[in-house]
Amino acid sequence: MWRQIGKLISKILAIILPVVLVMQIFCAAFPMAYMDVEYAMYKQQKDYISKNHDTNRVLILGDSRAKASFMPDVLGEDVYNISLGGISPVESYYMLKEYLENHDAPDYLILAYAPMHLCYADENNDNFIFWKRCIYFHTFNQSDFFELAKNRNMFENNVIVDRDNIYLEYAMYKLYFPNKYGAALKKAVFTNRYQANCEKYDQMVAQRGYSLFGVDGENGGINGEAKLDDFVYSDMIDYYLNQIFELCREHQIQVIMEQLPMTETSYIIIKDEFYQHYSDYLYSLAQKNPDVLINPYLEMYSNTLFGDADHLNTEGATMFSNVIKERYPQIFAH
Amino acid sequence: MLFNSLAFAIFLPIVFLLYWAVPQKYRWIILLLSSYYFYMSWNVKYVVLILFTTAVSYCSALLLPKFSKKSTKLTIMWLAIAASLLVLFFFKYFDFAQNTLIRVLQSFAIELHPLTLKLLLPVGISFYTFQTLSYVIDVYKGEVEPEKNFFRYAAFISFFPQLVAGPIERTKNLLPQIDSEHVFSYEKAAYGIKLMAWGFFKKLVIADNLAVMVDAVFEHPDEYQGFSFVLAILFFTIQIYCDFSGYSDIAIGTAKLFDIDLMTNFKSPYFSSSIQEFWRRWHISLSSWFRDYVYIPLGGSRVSKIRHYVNLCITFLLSGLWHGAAFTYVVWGGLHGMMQCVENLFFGKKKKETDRKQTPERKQGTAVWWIRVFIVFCLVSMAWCFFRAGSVTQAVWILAHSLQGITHPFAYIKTGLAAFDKSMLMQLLLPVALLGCYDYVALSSDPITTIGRMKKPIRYAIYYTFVFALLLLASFNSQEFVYFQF
Repeated sequence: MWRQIGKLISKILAIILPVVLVMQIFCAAFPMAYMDVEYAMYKQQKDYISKNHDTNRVLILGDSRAKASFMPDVLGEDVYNISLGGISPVESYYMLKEYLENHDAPDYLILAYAPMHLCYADENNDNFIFWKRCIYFHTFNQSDFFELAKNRNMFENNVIVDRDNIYLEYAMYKLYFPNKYGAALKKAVFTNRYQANCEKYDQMVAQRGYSLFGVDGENGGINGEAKLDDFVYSDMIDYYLNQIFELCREHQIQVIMEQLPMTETSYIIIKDEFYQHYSDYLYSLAQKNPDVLINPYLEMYSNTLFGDADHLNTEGATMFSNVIKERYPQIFAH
Repeated sequence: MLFNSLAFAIFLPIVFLLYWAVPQKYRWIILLLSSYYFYMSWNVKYVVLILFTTAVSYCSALLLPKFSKKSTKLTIMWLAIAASLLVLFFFKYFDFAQNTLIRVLQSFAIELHPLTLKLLLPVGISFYTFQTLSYVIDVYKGEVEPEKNFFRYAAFISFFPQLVAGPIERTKNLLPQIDSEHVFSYEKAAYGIKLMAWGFFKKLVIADNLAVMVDAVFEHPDEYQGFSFVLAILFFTIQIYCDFSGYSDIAIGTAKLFDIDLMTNFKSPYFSSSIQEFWRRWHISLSSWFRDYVYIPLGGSRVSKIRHYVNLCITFLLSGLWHGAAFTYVVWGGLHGMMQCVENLFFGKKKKETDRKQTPERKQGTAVWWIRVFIVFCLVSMAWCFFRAGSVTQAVWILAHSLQGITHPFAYIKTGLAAFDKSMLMQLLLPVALLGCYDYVALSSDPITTIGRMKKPIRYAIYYTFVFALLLLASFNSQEFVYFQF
């Protein structure tokens, strides 16, 4: 009987394993061929922070709004934008750490996040973006992941890695399991993702990390903050934000925390409690970190300057970058 | 624990190895323990309900032979039925009954405040309740002997492959298999694995991918029009079949790993040439349950014509209500009952004559047969619209708007198709065609056995392609099976 059971199991494995193995090898070897276009951004940023050794005087770090707002071409030659869509200060801390391991420290770091990214991490189909982006794209270092996983129980509001069986989940991504990558592979069969990814990668290199997100000529949509009742920051995100400040202190980097514009529609809708508590939070941050320059004023821009509900379009980004340039002449006078 | 979850992928091999590792006489204990673990993985609290229903049916079945007086036996049987149905009613139908009563009273200007119990529907309650009912009725009729060992009986009721979504097994078939001598058969287990793979293909590749498009239309019907509705109804027709028959295939295949044969639940239902035939091919375990325990006791067809039609309608209305506590299901059941009555009224005699003249093989494949299959498919699909819609009004609205713009057929089809993701449609084309071929072949032979008889290189090429397609096209979001809600 056991011989027959063994035969059955070995036959099942003989049929399933080679197929799984071929898929895993393909996934690991040709990510540009099947992953969505955001992969090109993550990949370009990862390559830049880990392999490139340029020296930048000003570094910009933040989420997708920051990526779509700060144009290095407008700001100056020694400016680079390493922001990424969906990330919070948690991932940013590890990215900055890696950048500093491979580059000379910049003189200035401009940090900018949508206020909601200080409350929670973005989710996509019940999956934190951290999993669906950083881990999925294999751009987050293994040692950093284990440190993050180890630290996760320190926080009440753990917004990044709060899920069951995190190590098993991580292993499935690490080994390119078909249940994690099958959907992207399937989509790639019907669309030429390789070309789109290559174009995006080249564009990111050419624009020194800046990327357009929304392509509309005008957008009066409601952003994430306008959908929230209040601003309740995450203790985990707060911890890592302070870690960023600490890291910059060690490297004698001047940190500037900037605010990103919102659509008129969103600005009007956002509740007073939200503004008040966000402002209180920034005030407490400034008190704890007197060396950090914090701009506490949220601004609204005309809807005509937005490509979608959250992100500035090219015109908006050009205008915003010029405003920043004028606001900090001591940084951008060069 | 869903069949399409990692937990089940770990659970099943462990139970399989344990089952065959222990001596024969203890194997049913492994089944009992694993089945209860499987059930408790959903919600530990609801184990009380299955235990209660099991205990009530077990005790009443033991009591039945002790009495010779028919009226006493009848009372015991009805008490057992009432107790089981009461639990089912409370958890599944209470809110529905209450809301209906409130609405009726409101029309008489009587206000009633609803009781909000916020009860979660225990998974599989309709399935195991019906299994216990058939056991009690069979014991009452003297068709089966009552099981003396409570735990063995509990293993029969809770047998995990079919516990939460059937097939609703009959005592005669499953109970003796629970503790009979089992010998591991490589062929049977291999067949089970292949059937499971086919079930997973139907569920993960076809049903779950179609569900995305179907849900989009039925959740926001105002954003769609015309041919999109026709496609959404067609997609749901395929989705519900793949979802449910996929579950049944996995259940039957899993049982085979333990050398247990469950009854066939689906036999290519969309290749039926009449509504009556559809019900001989669709959810066979439930339709035969209703036939044996509702339709025939009501008099079946051996009564006056009108009474016969009334019996048909009652049976199908109850079948609709069994599926869910909403008027959409009742209407769906009622429609099937009505369609059967109409079919019987107009084609009953003629069909019997045709059936006498032609063998099924000769009938199948002819132009007339194909036309009839197409008509039945359209009627069944139309009825599914009520099954899926959020309300009867919504279903009627969707059906009424599905022909909007048909006067310009080219634009009608083009706009309808444009509402869906083209790549999604493309990727589903081949799997759905494969499903059609499989089911057509299944009308006359068993496709799995047919493939098994092919030459080794061809056979393995099919297996590798199949596994590749399954892994590539599957939706791995662990979506629940539609029938879990029933």
